[in-house]
Amino acid sequence: MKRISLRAVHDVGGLPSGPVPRDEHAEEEWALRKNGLRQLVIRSGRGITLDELRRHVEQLGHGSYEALEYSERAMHAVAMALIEHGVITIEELAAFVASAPHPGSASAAAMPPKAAPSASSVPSPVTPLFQAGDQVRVKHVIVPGHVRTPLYCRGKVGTVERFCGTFANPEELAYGRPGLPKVPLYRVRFLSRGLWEDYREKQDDVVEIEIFQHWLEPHR
Amino acid sequence: MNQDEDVKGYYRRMQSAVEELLILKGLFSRAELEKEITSFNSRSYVRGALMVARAWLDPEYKDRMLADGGGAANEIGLGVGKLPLIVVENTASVHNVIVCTLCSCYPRSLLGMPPHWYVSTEYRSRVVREPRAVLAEFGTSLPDPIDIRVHDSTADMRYMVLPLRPPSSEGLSEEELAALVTCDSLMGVSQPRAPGGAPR
Repeated sequence: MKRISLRAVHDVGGLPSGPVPRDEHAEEEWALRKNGLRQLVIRSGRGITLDELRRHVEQLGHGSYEALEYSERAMHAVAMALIEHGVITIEELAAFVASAPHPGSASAAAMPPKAAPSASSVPSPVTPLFQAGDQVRVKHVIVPGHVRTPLYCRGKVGTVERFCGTFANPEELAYGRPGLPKVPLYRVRFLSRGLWEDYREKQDDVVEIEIFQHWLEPHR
Repeated sequence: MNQDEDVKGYYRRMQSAVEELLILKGLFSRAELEKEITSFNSRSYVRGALMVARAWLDPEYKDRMLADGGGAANEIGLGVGKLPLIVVENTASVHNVIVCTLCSCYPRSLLGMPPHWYVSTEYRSRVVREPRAVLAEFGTSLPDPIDIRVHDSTADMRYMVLPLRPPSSEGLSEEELAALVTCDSLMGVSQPRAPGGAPR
């Protein structure tokens, strides 16, 4: 069974890996500029969400994901989201990267910001079904796309630690849709030895994970 | 030129190309961009250290911080807006560690950019499965009765640890206490410094 092929490239919880790198270095100037640029892009009113940026990182694929540094992956995602939203074109980017600006095409009129949904059209949030203390099982399903439920907890039983509120659905936000109705989010506590058959540390150690309601089913 | 240098140069050029394009297209002005770059990069873990020191000295502030981390940051003028920050308290029986296994979620609007180790694949892979082994690499060992609670920051919440106040820190000012709090201790991989000494 080709189990490993189902793991998305970014979903690394529990994978064997080497020593944690401890070389702290100041961020390079371009990466510092990228931090500010990324914030303004998210706030630009063009509907570019954090989940879209995450999706573009996740879509780098094996090889590139591991080879690129964190800031490079983040920069890639910003450029991809701008292209996908039609804010810039691949041709413009290529021209500017090559330091050969095409002023005519780049000075095209700014597009109007995406209209926010009007109050009357916003559906009510999904009703929360669980509360602190409830036993839940994470659905054991494999789906494509951008999901925020790590593979290592799928199929596992845990206890709701708290209800966090309702939030736009990241699985929709990642594709430029509004993610409504908002969906309930919980923090679920799992015994570490329940997550990992070979867990070698302490009996009562736990991992807490934020999981959206549509990934949970009651467990009795 | 080898291929590695090529890749590094490519993302640098891409950053500057996107910057120029978006200014040309009027998404923001150069001044707005410079302001955001300065303001974003001026944030650091020191802001979290101030909250921790205040909480060590003021039990009522601590209670408000544990109930609403973002509100407690705003209360002391840190201006984080509506940050859904959950502060988790280390005790004599529980030690908290923060990770994001799926990307690198971190309370950036409070603490700025995360340290290099936090965004590494090695940390993200291993700390949910062998937290004590990872802490040992940071020189951190926990007494036997303490259980570990790892927080995988997968969605909309952001996390910060309220570490245990170091022993022999009585009588220190808020400023002196804040200077004991390290970036790593706010994510739970190490403890604050001992007064007048190296990290314990």
